[in-house]
Amino acid sequence: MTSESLWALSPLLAVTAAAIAVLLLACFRRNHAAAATICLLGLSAALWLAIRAAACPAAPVRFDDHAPTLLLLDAYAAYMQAVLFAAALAVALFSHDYSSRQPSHAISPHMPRRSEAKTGPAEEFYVLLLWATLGGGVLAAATHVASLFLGLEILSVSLYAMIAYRPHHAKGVAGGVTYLVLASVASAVLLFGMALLYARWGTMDFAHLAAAMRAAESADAPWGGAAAEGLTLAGVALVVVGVGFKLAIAPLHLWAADVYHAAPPPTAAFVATVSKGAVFALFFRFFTTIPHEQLGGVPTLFAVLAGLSMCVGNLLALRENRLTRLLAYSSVAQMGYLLTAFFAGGDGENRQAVSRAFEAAAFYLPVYFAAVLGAFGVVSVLSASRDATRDDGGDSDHLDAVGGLFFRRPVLACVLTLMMMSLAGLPLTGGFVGKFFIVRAGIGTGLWTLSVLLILNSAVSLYYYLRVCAVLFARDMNETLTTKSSANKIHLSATIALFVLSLIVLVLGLYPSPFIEFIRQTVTWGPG
Amino acid sequence: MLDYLYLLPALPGAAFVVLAVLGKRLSQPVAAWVGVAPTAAAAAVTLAIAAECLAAPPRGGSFRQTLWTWLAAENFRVDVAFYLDPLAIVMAATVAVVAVFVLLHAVEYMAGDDGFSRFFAVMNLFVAAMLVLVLADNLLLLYVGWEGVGLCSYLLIGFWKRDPANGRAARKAFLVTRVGDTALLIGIVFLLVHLGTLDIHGLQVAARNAWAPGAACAVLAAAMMLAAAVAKSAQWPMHIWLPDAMAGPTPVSALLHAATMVTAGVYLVARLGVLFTLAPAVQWATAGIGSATMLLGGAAALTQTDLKRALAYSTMSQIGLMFAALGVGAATAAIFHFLTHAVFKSLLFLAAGSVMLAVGHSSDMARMGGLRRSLPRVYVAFLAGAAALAGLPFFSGFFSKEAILAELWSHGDGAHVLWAVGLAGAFLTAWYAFRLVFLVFHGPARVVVAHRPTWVARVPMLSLAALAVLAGWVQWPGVVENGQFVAHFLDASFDRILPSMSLAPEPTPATRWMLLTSATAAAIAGATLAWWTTHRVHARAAEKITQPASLFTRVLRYGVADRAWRAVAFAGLWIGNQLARMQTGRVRWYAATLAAVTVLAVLAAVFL
Repeated sequence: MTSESLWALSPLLAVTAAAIAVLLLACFRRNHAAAATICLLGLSAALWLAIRAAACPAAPVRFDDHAPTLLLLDAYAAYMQAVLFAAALAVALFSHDYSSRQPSHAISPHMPRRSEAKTGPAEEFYVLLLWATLGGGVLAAATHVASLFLGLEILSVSLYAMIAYRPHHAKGVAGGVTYLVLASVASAVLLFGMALLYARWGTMDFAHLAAAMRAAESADAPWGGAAAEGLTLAGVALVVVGVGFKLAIAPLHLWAADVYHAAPPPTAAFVATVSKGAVFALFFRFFTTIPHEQLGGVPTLFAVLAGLSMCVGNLLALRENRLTRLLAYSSVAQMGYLLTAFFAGGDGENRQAVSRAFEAAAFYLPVYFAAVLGAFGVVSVLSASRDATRDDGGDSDHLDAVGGLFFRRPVLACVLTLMMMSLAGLPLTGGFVGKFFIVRAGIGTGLWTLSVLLILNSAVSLYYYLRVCAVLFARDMNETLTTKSSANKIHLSATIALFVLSLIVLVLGLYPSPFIEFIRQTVTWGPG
Repeated sequence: MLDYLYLLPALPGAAFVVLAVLGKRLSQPVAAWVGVAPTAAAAAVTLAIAAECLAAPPRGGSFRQTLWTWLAAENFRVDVAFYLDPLAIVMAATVAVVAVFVLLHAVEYMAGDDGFSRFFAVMNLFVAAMLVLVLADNLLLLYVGWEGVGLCSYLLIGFWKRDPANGRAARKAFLVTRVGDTALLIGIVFLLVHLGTLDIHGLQVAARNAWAPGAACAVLAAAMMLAAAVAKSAQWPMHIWLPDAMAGPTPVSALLHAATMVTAGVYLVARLGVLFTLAPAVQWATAGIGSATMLLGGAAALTQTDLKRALAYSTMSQIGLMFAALGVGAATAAIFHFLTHAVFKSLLFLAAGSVMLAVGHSSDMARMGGLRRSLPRVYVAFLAGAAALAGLPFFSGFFSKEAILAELWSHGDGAHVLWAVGLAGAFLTAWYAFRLVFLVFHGPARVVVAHRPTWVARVPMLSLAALAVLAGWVQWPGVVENGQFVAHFLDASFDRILPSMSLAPEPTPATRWMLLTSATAAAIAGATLAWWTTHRVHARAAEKITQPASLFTRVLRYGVADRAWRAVAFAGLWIGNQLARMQTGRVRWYAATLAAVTVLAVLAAVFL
């Protein structure tokens, strides 16, 4: 191991170190602030190291040289890691605000005693958050089935607990179990698909897999007959299903709304961003590496799912009255948009198309992250206030509950409006620029159906995003709720996070060129 | 002065920010000042810029101000940049000046309303967005303005939220115009992918080099742009939103749904003139849609009992006339008519607003009548607007309408069908315009006037009335130094990109006189008929005369387009409901779905 490879690995190491530190701290001395600080410091360090690795692209580091490549730490991986760590940082800030205002921590003589037993301590949440982030970082760099599975499981297993982290919340446990059962089935499906590919091609390394496929193709020998062809196709189809579940694309989206609704809002934000982003990063690399000629109808199948995802997500959101569920459906649709960029890349034959597609995806991902994190951040702040004042931790995310929010908490309402506009893709927000780049990449490669579907769907989606905004600014609702209690006070951590996220959304909408330039310069052609 | 171009959208934009942030803390007079003064300053800057451009045209006839680079990718670049040429000057000046008058009038109209500062905030945002739209140097920035004005329109139609009908009208307007926005975005990306640039000027040069007239790409791109324009400008069959949009406060109807926003489509088609000349089929479609809308809208306006709705149909019809002109390549005449129409139609709406205040916030014409004695100044203003709308000789509408009719005569095919349709439209226009005058201001008085306009409302109305009378005179040969002032000025912006446009044969003096006479005759005949049907004929007989027209109205309001719109909205919600039924919350059902999808995916992958 050279110092160069150590630098390349350092972001993951930083996250690991922070996780162990928080774990040890929680063993010996319970201190919420300290745990949060370590978590934030660790993630910030990891973020800085990842940006550094992305900005000064060294030769891609492969682990190991003589064994199969497990991790490929190139600029692509570093960029994706940076985006994931930044998102995790925002989630950590929100969870600090959220859990420091949970009933057991707001110790006061008026607080009924039973509520203390109802909520778990907050420190372990950061451990889980860090482990899950580590899993995401590994996925972004994985080029091998073993590292893929390792990363995926580190991510998922931490998520099971993070989703069920509100034990006093009956729905929380139910949501955790839902995710546990379904995600393990999906992991099994994914693993089985990989096994079938291994059975046919005898390798678990993506690059070797691609090379073997290309060799078989050019050798012009019938590559193993119908059974072998069937193995490849079935294997890839299973991989698509497994990944599709994690990305919650239709018709594998059913879990999303329930889990988002049941999970603590910071966790929901994490599921919607880091978890999906990591799987997307991996999948982008996998599918632009292997040649598409031998995949038969699988890419088409996947494209159909992407198109379906946009329509289903938006149609479901049209009539949804709960903010978290609405965001879940919206992210189902957003994944469809993101996959359009993915398909615009093709199979890596056309370098220009791939780099255009990568640019679009690499731009859209942080924009989508910022908007979803901001929206969930507002939900988190609101529901923390609600939980602190009301014991049942009830439906603080019902649209009626945020009615007229502008007149009670103008800043939160404005941030949420901004995020909705970005998700809807209105001009002058990052969402517009992101969608524009995706459509450009799509139409540039002749991907007419998906691109037009994207534009139509974002036209439809504006309806429900604007409905949320309209509710926020509607007067005459909840006038009685104008309580100036201390429970309503936003913690500094959440304020900073919301401010930075709003700034990102605005800057990427108004003046995105430097960032686009950064993506183009650093990650020249994307996954290798 | 040209360097201050960015102030045009920036000033109203700043007013929006101030009003949005401080809204509820400002008292009404302060909010009124913040709401009107920046737009007035922007209008002053616009006029100063226009004057400077007239005195010393910038080199090359146009001026470009780049603020910053917005997007850049390997082979294209989009700047946040404003482009000033005669077309942009005329548009911007009209928008800014009309906006000032409307905002001033709104200070009185909206006085005492809960949402006073919210109203002015959104109105200022609208002005900013509209100015971005007309000054945009590239299509993407134009799209920003396009979306912005659509958003403001949505917010303002549903401004009074207490009545759910207003919310419905807002949603309808929003969704129907979204169809156009979608088409516009597809068209923009299509042009970018094929021509590699979004710069409006460069794009048209590239289009002319790349595509032969009638090429499929050109037709497709132009068709997308036309679809966008048709939806935004409420042309048949996407007109269904405009009559309902009258649910908004009257100043909104005056500014957005008469003078400026609905004419964005006209601007788009005029701006992309070259693209349209490359697609003759789309040009014919433009002319056809425009003519049809003109007749249908005129007929519908005749049968309305609601003052604002009548004016809405009139707007549709007048924009139809502009589209007809654009269809034959007469962009100059169309933009000239845009200018005069913006003045007289906003005047009519403001006067209608004062009338509505006077009869107690109602736009039902059954409550009006005989108001000329109690509201003499409003009467004069409305009369001036109606005369201009009808195209009575020497009023502004006369000049622009005559210009369009002349173009329709000389550009159309030999049969002059378009011209005949235009003439029929002019006749209908005069008829319904004076029908409104007689119904509202003549006859027996029906209600006691509750409110008389103060100077805040009177100044804008009388200024616009003066403009409505005089604005056309700039076109009168001999009044301005080089004659036909507007035409020459505007031609400058089309000539450079459209050398083929002025190739139409100049009509002979005899033809010219014939055209002038027929247009005048049509207008006077219409006005006379209006007098006759409202004064001499028994109401029931008058109804019989307009019977065929009310059939049109029914078709227009509840016709195919409206059904289609309802069907789409219903289908969306229905499918959404069905999908939501799958969200049972049961893990076993979810797992079963997952298993089923897995099996299906494998089967599809292996056997397809």
